[in-house]
Amino acid sequence: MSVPVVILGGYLGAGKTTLLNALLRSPQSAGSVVLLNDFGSVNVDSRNVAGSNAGAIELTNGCACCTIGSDLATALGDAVRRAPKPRRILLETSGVADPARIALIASAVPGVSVAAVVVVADAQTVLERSRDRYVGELVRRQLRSAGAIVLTKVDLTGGSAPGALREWIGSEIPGVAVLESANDPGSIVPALFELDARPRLDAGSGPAPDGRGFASVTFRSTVPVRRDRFVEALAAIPSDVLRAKGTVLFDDEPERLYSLQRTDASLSIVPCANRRSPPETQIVAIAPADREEALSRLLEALHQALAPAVEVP
Amino acid sequence: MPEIPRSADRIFTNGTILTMVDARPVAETVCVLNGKIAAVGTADEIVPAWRSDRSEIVDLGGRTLVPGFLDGHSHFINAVRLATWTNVSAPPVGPVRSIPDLVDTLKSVAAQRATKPGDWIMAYGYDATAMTDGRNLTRADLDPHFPDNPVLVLHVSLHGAVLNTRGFAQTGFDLRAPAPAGGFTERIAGSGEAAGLVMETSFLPIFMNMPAPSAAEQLDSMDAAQQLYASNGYTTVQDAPMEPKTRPLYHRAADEGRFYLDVVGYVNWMELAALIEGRAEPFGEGYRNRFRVGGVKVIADGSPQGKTAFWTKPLLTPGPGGEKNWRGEPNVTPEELGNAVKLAYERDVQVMVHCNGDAAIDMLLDAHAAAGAPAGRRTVVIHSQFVRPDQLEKYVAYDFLASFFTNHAFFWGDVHVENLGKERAYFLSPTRTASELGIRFSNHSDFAVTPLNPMFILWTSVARASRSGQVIGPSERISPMRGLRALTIDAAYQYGEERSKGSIEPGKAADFAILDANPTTVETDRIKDVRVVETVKDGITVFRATERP
Repeated sequence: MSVPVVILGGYLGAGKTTLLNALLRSPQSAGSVVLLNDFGSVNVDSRNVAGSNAGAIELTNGCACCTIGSDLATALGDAVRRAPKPRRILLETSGVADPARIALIASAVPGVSVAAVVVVADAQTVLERSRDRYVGELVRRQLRSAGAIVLTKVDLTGGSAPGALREWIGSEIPGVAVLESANDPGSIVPALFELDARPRLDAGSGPAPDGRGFASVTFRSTVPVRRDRFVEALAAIPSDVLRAKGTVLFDDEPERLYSLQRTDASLSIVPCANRRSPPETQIVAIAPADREEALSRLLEALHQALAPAVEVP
Repeated sequence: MPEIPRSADRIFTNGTILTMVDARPVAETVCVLNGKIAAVGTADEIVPAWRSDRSEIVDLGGRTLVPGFLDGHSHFINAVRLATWTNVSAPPVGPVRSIPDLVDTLKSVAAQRATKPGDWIMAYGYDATAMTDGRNLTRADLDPHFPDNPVLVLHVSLHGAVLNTRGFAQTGFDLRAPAPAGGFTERIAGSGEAAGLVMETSFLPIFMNMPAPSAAEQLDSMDAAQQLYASNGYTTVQDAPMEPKTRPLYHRAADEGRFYLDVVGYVNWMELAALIEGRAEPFGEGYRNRFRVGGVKVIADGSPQGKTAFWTKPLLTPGPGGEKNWRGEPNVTPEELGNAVKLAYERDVQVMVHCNGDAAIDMLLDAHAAAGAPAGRRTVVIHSQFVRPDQLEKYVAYDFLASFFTNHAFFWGDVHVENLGKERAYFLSPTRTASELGIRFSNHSDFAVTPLNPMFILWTSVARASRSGQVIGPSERISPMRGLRALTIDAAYQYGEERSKGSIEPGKAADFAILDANPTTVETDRIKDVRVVETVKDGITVFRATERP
């Protein structure tokens, strides 16, 4: 079995390290090896550090952070040879790297397979950067190499990515899965792990062989939803929606956050174990790019489920 | 006042001494006391006044003595790593014209080094396009001669290699494995097996499994590495940027007294903040046992021949991945470059930035301006190969220095004309324009990218002839004397060592290169054939050529 590698790319300051730290907090990351350009850039929570030796920092959850050093292929080769064998490799690229090229190198290393290329972009600045005289082309090339794009800091752009940005991404990289995250990207981590399991995202260079990509939407609201209408909305989710995941705040139980998981086979709504999740409803849904209208219908149904806003005196 | 008796340690006389001092550009005799130059002049002026029983008279026999060369830019660590490798380059870089030549060269070096069965035999510089066979080297060429040793012959691009069967086995390479995306594995006709040459991603798994020399082995190679530079007349050498592991290696070599040439390392910008905060590196201090850290190096773009340099205008040819309107890309973000420059200036650390394309140079000019455009920093724009005329004027305003790379005119001049058109290609490393603007510049080998030979560098700055014979920018040619300054006094200025090195005048270090002919008077085409016959560092001979049979 080859070790899946998740490549995290994107321009300097886009939020790669924040996302990486969020990924590391997830139980699904246990047993991962993290490859970084330098430790200085990663804010590894010191409580999670078990020790360090020979250029690697060992984390309590069984992860290890290693620096890439001068040669990526060697670093990847060393990572897969570690004992115990890593379950996954999380690779954070430098801010100027072309993730497609990194993926090409990674896929040539024996024992490694590219599971996902995730490119992180700052929702506030990426459009401007994409036109920068120095780095514009680079930023666009990075985004084009993405299997999934994570738009960060949407709390600074009014809670969701600006329409112009979504439109631009849609025309620049048709069919790419887009996830949105506010200041804490923890909530999109489950969706990301779902995505990286999809073989269609392999290598991340352009559309998958069958010409299909993914589209996604994020529904967010701090206004609680009505339980009955919400369950109705979910029951009516078009079958083209492959996954829906996130947190739900019900109006009859506002002190408790629920966790939602829907795959094509199952639906579960259980009290949320993660106390750190913000008290809000946030659902990420994914559908094939050519079934994007299913996502619009879901969004509409979710809006219908919102409880009437309470007037604040 | 009674005259103090004067007694030189060594007196070099009866030669042509090119001093690099305008007031007396040529002298006949130089004498050395305590590792420093004590006097310069004619034999009549010097010899009677300085000779004593203990003085050694070195008869130059009409040969030419110049200041020891200061390496404008190269990667000394490559010499450390390649010390145990064999050069199988084609002329003018090496001796190999054909596959039989290559095999003979490997065999004779292996015999000379008493290579034992099982030892790796490593070679570099292989380039089938410069050889006469019309085909690639294969493992079938190597196997009969090296049955007991793994052999790896590195391609000149550094992106591939030819191995013998034992070499493939030892690196765990599956001869029948399909080439990965982006890779090339040459096959034996009529069989699915690898023939020998593997390139790009096919080579990666081999590259990863190549034996890496240990720190102890690298320390043991320090002498051979310095000999490589000394045999080319260099007395001050550079490593920029040092890899994170190299910096402590050099400190250890200094501790152990292994350096006899001056070695100046520049730290990688990514380490700068941590080294400053942790006070882990004494920036700005002088040599300690012949090693010092000179400053910080940033690599702002890639290479023009690899099409990874960063230009403002697109190439005429597609990018490395077939891209249209390709103009390359930066290697750092403008923010990172800006922060590194600012921090270095605040801490009085000299800055060197590798910029090949004009867009990368724009980034550096912006970073310098954003840091307050301080004067007198001697910031070095390494390569400056595709600098624009308007940018050179900024160099003057900002006290920037250029370290040019005229060897490109020979090695890749034709490629640059194809990719960029004549107008842009001909302004490659514009030494003449820079001279006229009063910009001080060095000229370098970028070893191991091109050979160290300073006389070859001098020739490319004077002739600018490409491999095909095309003159790459006739109006940018400079005189041999101007070219020599770029290898001596102006390179010393780049290091901030112009008061102690780079010219032949009293009080300076007795660092010399002795040449078998005068490169300022031989025919232009002969400049590249001028040989270094002796190298002197602080008055002591550190290299002497063995006589040719």
